[in-house]
Amino acid sequence: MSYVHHTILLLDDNLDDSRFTRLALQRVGVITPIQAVGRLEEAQQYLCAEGCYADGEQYPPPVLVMLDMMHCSSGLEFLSWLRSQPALRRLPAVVLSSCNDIAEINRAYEHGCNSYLVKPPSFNTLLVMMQTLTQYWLGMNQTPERSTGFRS
Amino acid sequence: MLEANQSDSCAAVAELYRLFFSQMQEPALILRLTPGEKEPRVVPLDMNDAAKHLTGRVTAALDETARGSLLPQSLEVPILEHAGAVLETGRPAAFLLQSASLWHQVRIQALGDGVIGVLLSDATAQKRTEETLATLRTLSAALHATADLELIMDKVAWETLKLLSAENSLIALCSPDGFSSYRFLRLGTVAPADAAWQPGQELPGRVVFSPVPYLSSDALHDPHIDPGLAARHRVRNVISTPLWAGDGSMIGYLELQNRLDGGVFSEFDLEQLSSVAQMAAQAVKNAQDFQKIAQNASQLEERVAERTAQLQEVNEELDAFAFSVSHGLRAPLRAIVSFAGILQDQGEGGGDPERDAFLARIIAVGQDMDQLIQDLLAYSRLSSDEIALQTVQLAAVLQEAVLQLRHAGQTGDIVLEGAQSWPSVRGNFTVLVQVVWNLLSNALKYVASGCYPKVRVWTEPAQDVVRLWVQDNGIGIAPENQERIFQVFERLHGVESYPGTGIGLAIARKAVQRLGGRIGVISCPGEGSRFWIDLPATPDR
Repeated sequence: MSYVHHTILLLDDNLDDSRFTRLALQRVGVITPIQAVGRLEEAQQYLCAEGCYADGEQYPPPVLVMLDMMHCSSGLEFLSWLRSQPALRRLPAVVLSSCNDIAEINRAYEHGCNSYLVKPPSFNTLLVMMQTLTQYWLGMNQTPERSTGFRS
Repeated sequence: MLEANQSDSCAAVAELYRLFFSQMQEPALILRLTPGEKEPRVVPLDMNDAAKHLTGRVTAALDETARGSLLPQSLEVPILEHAGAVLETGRPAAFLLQSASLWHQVRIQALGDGVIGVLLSDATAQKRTEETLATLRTLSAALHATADLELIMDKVAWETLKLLSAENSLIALCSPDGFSSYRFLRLGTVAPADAAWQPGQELPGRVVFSPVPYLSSDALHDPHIDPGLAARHRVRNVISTPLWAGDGSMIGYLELQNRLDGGVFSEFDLEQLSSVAQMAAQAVKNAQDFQKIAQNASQLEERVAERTAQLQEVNEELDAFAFSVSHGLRAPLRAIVSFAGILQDQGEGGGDPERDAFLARIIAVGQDMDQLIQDLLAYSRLSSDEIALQTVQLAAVLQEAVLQLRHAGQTGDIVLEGAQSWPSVRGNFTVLVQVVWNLLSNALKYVASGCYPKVRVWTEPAQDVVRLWVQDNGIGIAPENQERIFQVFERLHGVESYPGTGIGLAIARKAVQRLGGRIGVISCPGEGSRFWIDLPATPDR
């Protein structure tokens, strides 16, 4: 299945994990452009089309953000920031975290994530997860209209 | 009164009586009760020198003495009150009479024919003693009712001020730094306490160090009183006494200044002050001791609180450490397992079978280790997290645990005997499912090879607890190992024969302990095991 015109923004400070996620997406046949960033500030720049991400052709606005919790605080900070931006508050955000602590899951939802997934311990399980994820979020899920002010 | 034809001897006796009457130290009067013009009066027939002196003094002290009366009204009115009754019944009367600062005991005796004899005796000392006793009683009650030093000082200062009609009352208390807690009541107003000061050669140092009570009737010219200080505070006369506690320790100093009536303190006043001081000293000493004890107690409490905070901090650090270690361990482990998985994928079809087997081992071992880290995390969370207590249906807990075991693919019979009538317990649903899951999982797992696992679960209500039994047909546990199995990482069997991390029962025990329950096992090798957990029963059972 391909979702060529959809871009996914992947925010993960763990380079291995980031690579697995991209590899898994690739393996399950998703040819959707994946834009991977490793730091909170990069993600914010990308979404606001600032700095080196100013080129809208090369860095199109995403339809989905996947983020690691990045030791909890950075992930929550990003979610809060995302939901406080008028142009970004409808953007679906899926947490992909290594932590399955219920308190952290609760906090992530309270800060506005739309889904919370725990990184599986093996690559094979990750493959299955990525297949399901893209089918659901890019296929079945009805994406909201872009908020006004969202860059085109 | 005397007949004209009396004998000489009679006249001589009468003369002796008259002489005796005139020489009496106590005032004596002979009065006649007359109807008077408007109201009854008493008219003096005779009075001795002491009585003349007294009525003179009374007259001088009271300006409102009625004109035309030979007796001051303050004396006539109370005598008139009693005279009628005394003459009528012939029974003597007695009462106390105050004139100025003096008290008199007045006794009236009928002498017949409308004539009464009146004897007065000085009752001031008696009256004052009664007052002192009353003050001491009031103080005693007040001082016993409180251990508050400030309150005690206030009471002592105020009651002595009242008792001895003084202008100012002053208490100083000894402390290691000198004297402090200085009270100064000028006509009932409290002055704030001074800073600590050192007693010198003058008052109160003289009293404190000598240490005897001291009376100064002329403060301005007293060599023991600082004239500047006396002038500044307008001190005319002073009585002061040291405060000695019952154990002989010096507590402080008590002083009264200036009689309110403008008079001068007497030795008698000083005696009274000393009696009050004795009681005040003991009360102050008690309050100080109490304060010391309270202070020690609060210091102890502070120390305990401090230690508790330290321990809590260490605990939190340990928790944070356990969390970050297990978190930090899981990330690289996931990388290892995932990379191995990717290599496995790439080598599929035409790869080296030994290489594939090794990759499979890397993945399997890595996943075991991940499970282990997760179990350790769960164990550490059980010690640190708050567990909310609720009423939990045991049957629902068992059903949930069984469901989860089936999802995990564990096989075997699990019979919940009489589950529909099982009682509820006080606990936490999630935590209890964790406990029961571990017990059931073990019961299904540790069976002899070829034996189909059969597990029986039932409850047994006791006094304040509900006991849950889990019986299996497994391999059993030797008595010497029955304590070990509840420890972290204790495994009786190799992973080859029975997989697992060795933390399950440790989790179960920790969880049950956190819920205020107990866990145990009855078993013999080869005869299966019966695990039990005691959980607090719900109060309304």
